[in-house]
Amino acid sequence: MRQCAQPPENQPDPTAMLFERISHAGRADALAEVDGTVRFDLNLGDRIDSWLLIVQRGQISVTHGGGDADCVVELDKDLFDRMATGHANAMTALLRADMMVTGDVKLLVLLERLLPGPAKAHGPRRTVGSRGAG
Amino acid sequence: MKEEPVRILDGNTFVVSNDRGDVEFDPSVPTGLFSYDTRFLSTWTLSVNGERLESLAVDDLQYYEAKFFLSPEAETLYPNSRISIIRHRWVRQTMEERLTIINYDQMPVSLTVRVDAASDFADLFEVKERVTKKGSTFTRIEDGALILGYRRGNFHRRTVIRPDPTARLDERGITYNVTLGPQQTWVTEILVEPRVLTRSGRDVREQLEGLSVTRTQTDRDLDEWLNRAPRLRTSWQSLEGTYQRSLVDLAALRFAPLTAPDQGLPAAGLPWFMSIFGRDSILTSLQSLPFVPELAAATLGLLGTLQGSRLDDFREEEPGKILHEFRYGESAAFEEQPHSPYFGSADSTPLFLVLLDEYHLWTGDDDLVASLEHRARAALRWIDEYADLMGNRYVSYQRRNDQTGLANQCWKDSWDSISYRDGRLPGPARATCELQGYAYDAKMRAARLAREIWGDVGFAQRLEREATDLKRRFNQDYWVEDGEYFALALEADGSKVDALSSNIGHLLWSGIVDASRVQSIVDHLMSPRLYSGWGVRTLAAGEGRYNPVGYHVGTVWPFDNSFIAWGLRRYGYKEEAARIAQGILESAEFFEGRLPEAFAGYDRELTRYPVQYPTACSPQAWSTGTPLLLLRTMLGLEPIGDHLAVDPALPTNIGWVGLLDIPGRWGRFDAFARGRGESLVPVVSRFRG
Repeated sequence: MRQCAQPPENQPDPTAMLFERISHAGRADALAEVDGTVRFDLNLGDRIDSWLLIVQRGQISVTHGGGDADCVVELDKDLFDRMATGHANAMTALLRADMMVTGDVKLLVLLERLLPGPAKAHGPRRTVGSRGAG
Repeated sequence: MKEEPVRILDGNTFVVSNDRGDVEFDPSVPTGLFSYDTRFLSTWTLSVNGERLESLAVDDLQYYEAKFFLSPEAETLYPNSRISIIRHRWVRQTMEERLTIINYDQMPVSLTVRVDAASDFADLFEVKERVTKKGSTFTRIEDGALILGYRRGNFHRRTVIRPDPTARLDERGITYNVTLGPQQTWVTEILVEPRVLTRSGRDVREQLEGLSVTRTQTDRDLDEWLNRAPRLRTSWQSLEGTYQRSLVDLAALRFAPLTAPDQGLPAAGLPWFMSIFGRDSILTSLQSLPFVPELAAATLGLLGTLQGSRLDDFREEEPGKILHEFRYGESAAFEEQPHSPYFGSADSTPLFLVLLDEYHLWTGDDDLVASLEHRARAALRWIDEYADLMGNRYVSYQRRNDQTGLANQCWKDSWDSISYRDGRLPGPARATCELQGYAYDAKMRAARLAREIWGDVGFAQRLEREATDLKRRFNQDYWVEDGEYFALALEADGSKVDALSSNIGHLLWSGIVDASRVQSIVDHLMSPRLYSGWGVRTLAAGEGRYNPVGYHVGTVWPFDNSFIAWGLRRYGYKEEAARIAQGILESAEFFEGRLPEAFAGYDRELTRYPVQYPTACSPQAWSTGTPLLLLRTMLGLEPIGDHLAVDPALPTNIGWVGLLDIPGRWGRFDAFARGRGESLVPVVSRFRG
């Protein structure tokens, strides 16, 4: 078991970078009320790359490797790479069965808050230049 | 199909058939076995000796089971049918069917009994058309079961049909050869399993905690549900029936979502809206709090878990926002529809906060309020940071999913619901008035929770300052001087969308109306332009777009009226609240106690009976909750600290009412009231252990 290993190759590994970021932050207010462990088993074809997240009241520790978890999520590494960069959505991956969950699915739903939103999102359209009413 | 379809269900698994129990393509009334927003059977027809059957009677015993009494069609000329067929069907996540055939003849008979089966695996959003699927279907016979399947990538749905071993299977159905002697009976059972498969080939429900495929809402469960709810005794007999109907329908509407499989929260409506809807689940939970508070707890927990956390234009998600609709079907999975979940509603977030406080007032459940503090703070941030699209500190909406998003993101969500007096539609950014009321109420209520539970007095003071300022501005900016009421909405340029609507009643419920303006609002609500005699119309007669049978532009919505009655009570207008309650509850008598979603806005004098608005869903959750909230308003039930205050004002047609065992932080409490013409007094109320 390695602590947050660097990606083995030279090009950036979006999955490793995401878990680095989460590990570095150490805390997520979005998970302030959450306790539990989630393991991501990422399929690389010839092997499984596992990441274990332990959440205790918003404090998060990340381990690159296996271990028991309340919720186990299995998917292709490619797909998780796309989730890690906001190019794929975890919930629809689950609904399409491109991602498989065993155990407490609620934890996955909560941890989805750590994933970035769509890369091209603009957010609400603000109506600028109105004379307003207030 | 001319006759009413027969619907039975368990959670979001349901069967819609004709009165023979058959399922087949019908463009006007979609039929089938549905589960998780997918149709698993689109053909399911019974025939005997090649002949379809005739319906003699249907007994829909409970919401999860029905019995169809059938005879061969050729025998309609012979009233003393020699063969009786009973098709008994029930839904418990799976569909089970028991066929019984009885030979009443003196002679033996030989019968070929046939069930034809097929599935198009249509998404719930495709059921009204014959669709061309993007994936591929297959049929196979395996281990004594007929398997119908559909695959699109890893998306895999199967219908597994298991008859008993005497059946002969082919790819289009099941055949039995039956020989019956005189007075002999033949019985067989068929199990139909709708399966949502993962890549490992297991059913997704087997892999999730808290949800097993055998979990059921059985007779015992329904009995316990009814026993837990308060008992109603009243001189108005039909009101007791309406109350019972509401409780049973609420039980049927409970729905355990995949993301929180151990909880039951109210879905929006049967059968097409058996899903999580933020607004509908919250409003129904508010209506039913004094009766079945567990619905509110489940709603708060689940909506908090699924709270928005990111910016997403397709789903119209923002951090802190509470969702609008969640679906599990193929169109959501492949992002052809945004319901994964979709966040296009501007009111579910403030209403979430209103429910949190009201739930706490009734139950005293400090733990839940404490555990949702972060969710509540995020919701409050959403109101300030993301809902103010116009830069004027009002909550407004404008869709950014132009293909599949909603143009109106308030409860009146049809395209033409928000208009000027002259019928013009405003620009796309709209700040409807009731949203400001909800935001005001949300901040006032959150301030109480901040002070009493979260221990943050500074935050409480800030929220109260903001709410007070909002109320002051609102009463200036929305007031339509020449009509003396509040505008339906503001446009981005500050123009008042000046139609007179039922939304002003929601403002009373929220408490945002200045004391000096209350009387004119009440006068408008009870005026002939808005009040039809049955209830308050969504849009006043005489407005440009008024149409007594227009969905949100003239019909009367029972749920709308229940919140208006609550608003009238809030400002002390007891008699008016009782009039609203009376009209709506009298209309329920025409629907055997099951209030429709809406009925026409015709004057009561004109039609003498309420004309139902034709919709596919019944019961509708917030119509089901309406009699409960009206009971609360007519008894004047208000939780005050550890006590329940009772201040009744009964409609003039009610002699007396007793509501026994009202649950809450006081334990159980009985409330009694007697109507005496116009002066109304409580008889006696008492606490129980």
